[in-house]
Amino acid sequence: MSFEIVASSFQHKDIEQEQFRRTLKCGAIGGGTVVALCVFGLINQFMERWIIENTLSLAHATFIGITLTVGALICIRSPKLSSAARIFQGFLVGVVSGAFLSILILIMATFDVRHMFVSLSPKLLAFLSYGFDPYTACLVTILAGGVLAMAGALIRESPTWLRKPLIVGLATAFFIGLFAELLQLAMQYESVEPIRDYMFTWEGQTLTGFITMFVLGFAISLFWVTRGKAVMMNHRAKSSGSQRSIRYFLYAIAVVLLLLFPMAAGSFFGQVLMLVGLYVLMGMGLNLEVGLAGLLDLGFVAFFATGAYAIALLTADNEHLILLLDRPLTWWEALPLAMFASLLMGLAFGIPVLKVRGDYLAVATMGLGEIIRVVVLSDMASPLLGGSQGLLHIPRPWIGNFELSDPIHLFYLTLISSMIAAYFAWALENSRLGRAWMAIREDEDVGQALGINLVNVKLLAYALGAWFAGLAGAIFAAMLGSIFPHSFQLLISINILALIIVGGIGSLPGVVVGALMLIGTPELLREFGEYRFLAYGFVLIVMMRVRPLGLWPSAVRKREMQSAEEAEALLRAQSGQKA
Amino acid sequence: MNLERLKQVTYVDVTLWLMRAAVILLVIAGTIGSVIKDRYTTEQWVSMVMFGLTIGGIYALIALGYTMVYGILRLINFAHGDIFMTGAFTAYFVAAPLAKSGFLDEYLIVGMVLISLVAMTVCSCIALIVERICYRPFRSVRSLAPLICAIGASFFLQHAFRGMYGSSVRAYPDVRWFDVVVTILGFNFPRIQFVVVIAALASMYALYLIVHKTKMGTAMRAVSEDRDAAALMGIDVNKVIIFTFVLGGSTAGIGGVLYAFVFKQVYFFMGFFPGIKAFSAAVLGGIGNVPGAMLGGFFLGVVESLGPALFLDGLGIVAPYQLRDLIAFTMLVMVLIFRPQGILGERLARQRA
Amino acid sequence: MTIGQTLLKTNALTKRFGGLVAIDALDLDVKERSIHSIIGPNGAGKTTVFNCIMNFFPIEGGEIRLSEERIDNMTPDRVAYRGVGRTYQNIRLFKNMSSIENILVGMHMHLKSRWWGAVLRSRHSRADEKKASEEASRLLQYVGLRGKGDVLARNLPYGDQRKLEIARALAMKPKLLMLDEPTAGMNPSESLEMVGFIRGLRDDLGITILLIEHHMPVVMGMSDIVTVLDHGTKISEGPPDHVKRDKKVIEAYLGQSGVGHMT
Ligand SMILES: Nc1ncnc2c1ncn2[C@@H]1O[C@H](COP(=O)(O)OP(=O)(O)O)[C@@H](O)[C@H]1O
Ligand SMILES: [Mg+2]
Repeated sequence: MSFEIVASSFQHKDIEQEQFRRTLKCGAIGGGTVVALCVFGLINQFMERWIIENTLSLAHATFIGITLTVGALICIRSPKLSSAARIFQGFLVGVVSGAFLSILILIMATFDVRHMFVSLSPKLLAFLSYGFDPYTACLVTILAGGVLAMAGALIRESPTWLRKPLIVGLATAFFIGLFAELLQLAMQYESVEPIRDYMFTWEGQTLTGFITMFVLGFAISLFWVTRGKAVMMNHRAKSSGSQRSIRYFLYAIAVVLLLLFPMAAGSFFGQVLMLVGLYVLMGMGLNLEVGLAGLLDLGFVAFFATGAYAIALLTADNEHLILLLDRPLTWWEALPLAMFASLLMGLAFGIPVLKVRGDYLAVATMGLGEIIRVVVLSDMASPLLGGSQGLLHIPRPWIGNFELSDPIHLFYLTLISSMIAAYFAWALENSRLGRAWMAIREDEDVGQALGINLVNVKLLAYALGAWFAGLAGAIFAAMLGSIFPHSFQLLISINILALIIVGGIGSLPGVVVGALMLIGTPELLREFGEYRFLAYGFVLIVMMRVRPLGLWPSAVRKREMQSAEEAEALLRAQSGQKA
Repeated sequence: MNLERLKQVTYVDVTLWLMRAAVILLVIAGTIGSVIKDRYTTEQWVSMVMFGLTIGGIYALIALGYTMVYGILRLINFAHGDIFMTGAFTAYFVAAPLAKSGFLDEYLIVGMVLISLVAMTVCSCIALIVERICYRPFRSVRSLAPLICAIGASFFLQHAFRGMYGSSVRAYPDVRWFDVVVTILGFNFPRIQFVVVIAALASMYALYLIVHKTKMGTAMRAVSEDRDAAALMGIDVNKVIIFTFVLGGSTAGIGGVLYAFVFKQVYFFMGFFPGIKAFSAAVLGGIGNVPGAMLGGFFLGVVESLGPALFLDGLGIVAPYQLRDLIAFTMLVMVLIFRPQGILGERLARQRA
Repeated sequence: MTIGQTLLKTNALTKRFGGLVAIDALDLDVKERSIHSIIGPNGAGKTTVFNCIMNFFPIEGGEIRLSEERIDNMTPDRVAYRGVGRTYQNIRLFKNMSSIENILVGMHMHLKSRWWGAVLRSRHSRADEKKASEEASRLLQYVGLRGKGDVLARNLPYGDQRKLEIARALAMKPKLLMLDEPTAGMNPSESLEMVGFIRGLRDDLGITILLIEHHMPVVMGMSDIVTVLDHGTKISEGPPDHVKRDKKVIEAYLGQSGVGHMT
């Protein structure tokens, strides 16, 4: 394989060189990623999980996916080449990527590096070399890399009607395989049993299942790509009235499905959704502070903790109980008090930091939050708050004679609370207070000179935000039945802030999307343990690079983008060019 | 006249005054209580101070990275604590074999220099990567994106290194020379404490020379005054930023090695608390202010080390050592609220906060 | 045109920035329903006078009274409540909010609805909102920005931004309106239009105007009283004709950029 074939199609030497560098770079990206995944130990985890039972593991799938991607990437990056040349480029890139992995294989085969890189185990070596001796394995790896990347390039070069369905089909089958176990858990009904047994075994997705899913995804996508336009045209041609009624009908179906889904899906999903719901609720609260009023807050978890501890102290039958009546309060009786306690905590945070601005505010609130945590954890406060032993025996809420004991019941409670919080945010946004918040977010001094009382307005933001966090804390306490200081780490504040920014700051749907993405997905991938945080960090960075405004930016933020200069700057940020 | 002024005092002012008074009163009461109780010997006090200086020196070294980056880019490098971890953790794999083969005991200086170089290189490289990926794209945009990116980088680094080097705690080797106890003025200290303080001071002096005597340092100061103006004067801002991150990474690397030899253990999460503490130290000294970071570091170290015995024990608090972090965080918050420009009062901080 | 009693008075107002004395024992006396201009070379301390009146920072000496009431130790929002509105030399609109929202923020202190009213959508608060947005549209029209209510402030052309900033200040229904170089960056015909507009504010709405201006024709054409500042001290004061002939004023400006500026 000589480079001249490709090179001959070039006019200039420097283009040729640039092309060469590009190939190396793309190959290095792919190879580097693969090697990093091995070194960080992710592949060890992925080996255990089947996408197609006993045939294709997640580790294989990852390798294939990355190699296909770099093959496609080089095609996108070399617009000047002919199609055939691009596909050949793809092959070369794959070879380079493969070479990276081969070097790793050789190193692992020659030296024992396990005392330093704990993940580079013999098991990994066996996996990487497919039972061949190291040298053959290298050759196979390089060749496989080349072929796969070439396939990626081919897919990229194929016409749209083929490419999109292919990608959609593969992705569908992949994700069904990835979440096979969860899907099976959700399919515990007689009526769907045949489908389940056809698709899955407890090991993973069956080969037939995989193919079925691929075909299904392919077909639907194909239909959409070829016929989609006609359908849309047809839809547009209808009167706007009937268009709207169709839309509402679809919304209604979606909402009903969403509402029923948790009930059908079983208690694991219920728990995950419950957690997502709690974060949505807190996100709605923090959104008032950060999204509307522009007050960065990294101590938000303290409000959550206050709600939870207040509920525990007022209702839980243990030695820390605070008796207000001759019996412990019920959850519902204690709820207003807990929310009020959180509100007070919001004020206690807000008052000292009124004059602190920007990043400093984030750090000051973080400090306050940590102070609370350290105090709660200490022996000093343990006679009152139980210290690291926590508070136990928190009762569940009752409605009449019905105990909200299942995570799913509590999920509905959270859902209703979140909707109330969302309504609050939505109603306030276009009110006197909401405008004042936005004004001080833009320019505090000018706002003040227009008669906005900064103290009142800021404290309202803290208090209302804290109020909802308190509600979330109260539900959380009921959910777990016992609470410990360890549940209220700085990490939670960071998570909430991250989710509203990833969702799109100031946007209510963004909070939901952000929570699903940053809280829900990692929960579904529980078995990968701590590695989820690796992905979490990675996703945060990628999200901010690719969509700095968030997944679902608020209308206001989109409007802001109309301005030329920031739009340009952000575009530059997106494409990662030098600023 | 006085009455009119009084009328303008709000409940916010009152609360802030009460807060300040409460903290001061608690400190005074605690100190008096401790003096009366007289639980600790002079020797113990002195060793507490010395330990405070040791840990303070390390805080100061890390704080320098925060402060320099803030000075140049006006952003808090939230991943700096983890950058500190990467150096110390990686250097373990040099330190352990060196110690095992006896090389470290034999040629201590060469060995230490080698270990530090590794740590400095790793830290600088990681710092540069973080800058390139997380900060550079957002340099001209005013948004929360770099903050979130930095948080992402922090997670990524922690768990990448956890996956790479394992989740267990690795014990740094003992070095005989460091553990020897020396006696000065009748007080005994392990030698390592002197080594740390002296190494920290020396690094800071070197840094001072770099910032004030070299061309690059002058450019750094110019960029931190006014980036646009500096660019107009023909300073390559990009280069200055890279240089800053390398300097910050290097000091963090040295700090990491010293930390590891004092506490004898490294693991993937070790960067978090020193990071926060060092950041507090930077704020304490006035963020953006290089001498301030050094002062803030030592100050925080000593107060933190003396605090539990001096203020808290006297108040009759059980297990005062659990509340050591409380002292650091309280200081951080108080400084941010009452004196955002820090101890040394920097103009820059006043503009920001 | 009936000029009334003193509205704003400063006695020996002094402001220092570190070693720099930005304002040195300044006495100002602004009469009701007058147009009072402050002129002076760059860095004379004019904008600082506004900032002191608004109480953006504490003053080092002297006092400021609005209708006899001390306002120099109030927070800016309270000064605003007493009826002082202002614009800024470098326009400070809420750039990411629409024109109408900018004006609605200006009406903040005249709106009665509370946050729970907004949440519960009470009749009272809805009526309040409706009235406010009608009034805001009227104001937009008054300053000549009709139909631009939904445009983001940052996307307005420069001249319109100035107008919007004035509209926002007018929404506060101020007794005293302080304009900081309202014609900066405008061409002569636009400036002339602005002069007519400012005069209208006084004549039609009865608002007292305290004006900082650079363009001499603008100042001399419409002011009742002119105060000349240089290095923080008042070097001359009186009707335009008087000030124009004052030797000290000519010197101060000659030192700067020549007499050409003056006519
Ligand atoms: N916030 C501030 N901090 C420090 N110095 C200031 C500040 N505001 C104004 N100054 C200084 O006060 C002097 C008067 O400024 P200013 O009132 O803006 O002048 P002008 O008459 O051009 O409006 C100038 O020398 C300026 O540098
Ligand atoms: Mg001015």
